[in-house]
Amino acid sequence: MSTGAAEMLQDTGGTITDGAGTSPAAIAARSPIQLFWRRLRHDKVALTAAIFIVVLIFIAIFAGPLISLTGQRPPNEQSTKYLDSFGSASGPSSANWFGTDALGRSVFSRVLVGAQVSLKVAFISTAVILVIGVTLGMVAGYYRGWIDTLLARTMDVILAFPVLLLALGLGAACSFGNGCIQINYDRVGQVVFALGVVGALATVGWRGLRPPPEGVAPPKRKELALAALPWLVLIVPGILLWLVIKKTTGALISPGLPVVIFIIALAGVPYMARIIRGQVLSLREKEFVEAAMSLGASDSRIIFRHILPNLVAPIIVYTTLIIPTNILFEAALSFLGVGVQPPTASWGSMIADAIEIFDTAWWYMTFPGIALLLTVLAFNLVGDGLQDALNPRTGR
Amino acid sequence: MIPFIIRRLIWMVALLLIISFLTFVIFYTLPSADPALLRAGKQPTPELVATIRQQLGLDKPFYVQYVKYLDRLVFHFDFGYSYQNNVSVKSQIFDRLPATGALALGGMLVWLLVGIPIGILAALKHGRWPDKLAMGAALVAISAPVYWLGLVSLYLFSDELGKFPLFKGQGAYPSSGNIFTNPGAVIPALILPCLVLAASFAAVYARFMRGNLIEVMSEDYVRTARAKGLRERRVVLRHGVRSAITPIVTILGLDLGILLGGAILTESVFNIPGVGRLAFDSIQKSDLPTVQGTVLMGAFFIILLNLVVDVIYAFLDPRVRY
Repeated sequence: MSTGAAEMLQDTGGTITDGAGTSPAAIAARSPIQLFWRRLRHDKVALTAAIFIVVLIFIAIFAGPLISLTGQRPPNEQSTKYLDSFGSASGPSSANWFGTDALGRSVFSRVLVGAQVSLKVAFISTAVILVIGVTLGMVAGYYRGWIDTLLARTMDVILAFPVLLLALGLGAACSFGNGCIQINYDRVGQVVFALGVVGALATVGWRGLRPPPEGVAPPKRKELALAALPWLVLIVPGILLWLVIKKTTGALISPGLPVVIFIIALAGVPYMARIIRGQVLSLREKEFVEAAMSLGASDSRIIFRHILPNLVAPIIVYTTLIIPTNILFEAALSFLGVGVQPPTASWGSMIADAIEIFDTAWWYMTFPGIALLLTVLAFNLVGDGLQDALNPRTGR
Repeated sequence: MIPFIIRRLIWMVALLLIISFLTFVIFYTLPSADPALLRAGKQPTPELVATIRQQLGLDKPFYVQYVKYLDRLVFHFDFGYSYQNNVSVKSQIFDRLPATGALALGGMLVWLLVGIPIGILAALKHGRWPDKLAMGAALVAISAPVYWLGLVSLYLFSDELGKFPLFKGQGAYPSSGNIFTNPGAVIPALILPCLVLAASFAAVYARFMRGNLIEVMSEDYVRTARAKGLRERRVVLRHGVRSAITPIVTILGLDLGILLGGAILTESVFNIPGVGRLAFDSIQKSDLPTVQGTVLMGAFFIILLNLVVDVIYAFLDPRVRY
């Protein structure tokens, strides 16, 4: 079952393939990845959107050089020279392609730089949601019992909490000075490291000392060392925090983007965990899991080698679909004044600034808005395309 | 069924208690502006600030404050008084609720009336141009941020500055009165906000309806209905739509619950004095009682509508049993 999401990738034949040209003799074995790619290749819209996203990522990375290359002014340069004769924002011209804002800054440059914030927040928060959500969902779905109940109840609380209000509250509080929830990174590093060492020792001790079941040879030294390996996940970052990062104290949630990422992740994890949990609940009843169990596979082996590969398709689809939601969430928070600190441009905060002058300066609200719309649209299109390609049975 | 509802109601109370406690803890552990200082005015003397702090009960430890708060809330249904202007939080919320309620319910009406027929049509024309057009438009609507759509529609359609002055604009919501006392002024002012708010929801519902209906129309009982010679119209409406529309109830409840807690973004753009604005302003002013009140009310709507959804669902879908 380690070849990928075979369940989700059965060839549906006629719907995507050429149909007429395939004779029984021409049937060749195709891996799930090949099948997936064959279907995606025919989805011109999704491919175009994917290319758009790649271009956008390049624009975000090379925003600075691009702006100087095009001869536009840097994003934070204010200038009264470019305001009109009444001292208010001026429209698109050869000097300022997208016009200027009320301070005479180039809207073009700011829209380009705004892509950085949007994409950075979207990717980081999605990654956080992915890791935490999948882990929680798998643990809850696989072990059930009190862990599942505890998780479900915690999720209930988070889901019932008005997220936007929480976001505004945290944003208002954590934007003061150094941010909120002061922690000592040294100490955290030590604790994490200690947990890792204790865990590793406990694993080795338990595996090595417990009387081996009948007919099974006692584990070899190499096996014992391998069993302790996963604890490196804690040990290595622990050492890094403890010794390498010299900064001793800091805020867990510092002002600016970390606040936004924290909030988006907090709001997104329950949904991801719920979806994964549901999938795991049904997967663990399948015959191949039963077979693995009866062969004596350990829990971690079943989870990582048998269940996780089957989750790849839903995880990919859901992940691509939450990226646009997260981009919109970040923009909404910036719009409400939580997020990047003022001179830095973000699409949401530009639209918020545009409210003051939207009746006279149409360009100031239009360009950031269109950039946001196109970006979100592109991610949505790719998400839909992936969904079709990975799971052709949903008659979308 | 009854035991299920009772269990859920008990859990609902517990959940609200947890949420109120969390709000309290978050408020006291995070740095924020000192409410007493904010209230003391431009040139506060330390004595004045201390007096205000004592009046508001801020000098007590936070668990004492929390127990007092709960005592008033549970036994007197009293949400306390705003730190900023001493107005009762309950009356503030009830003043603002009609605006948010009218906006959310009006929006819901629009998105159901627009989204569901479009979804049905797209499903019936599955794969052909009306379907592609509708789903393309839906994806654009989902991708557009509501506040931006609001600004653009004000720029194009509001009667003060619009290129096509069709609707009342930003400042049209009356400063006094609500939908019950002054419907003549409120309803026109809410048309454009409702349309803007409904756009992305309509798109989501159209996509959802389409997906459900396509799936249902390939079921065996639909083939049976056709085979026994029913007219297509009857097959679609009585056998297809009727069963495809049931899951809509679930997302409708969730969406409405979230919106009733305050549609902050839409309310901001259109200057509607709703609960969302109240919450936003009180957070900026560190006004804990008002924040607490709006958070609890928002959570209340979300949880209540979740419960309502589950109950309605059991009636609509006889296979579901609690």
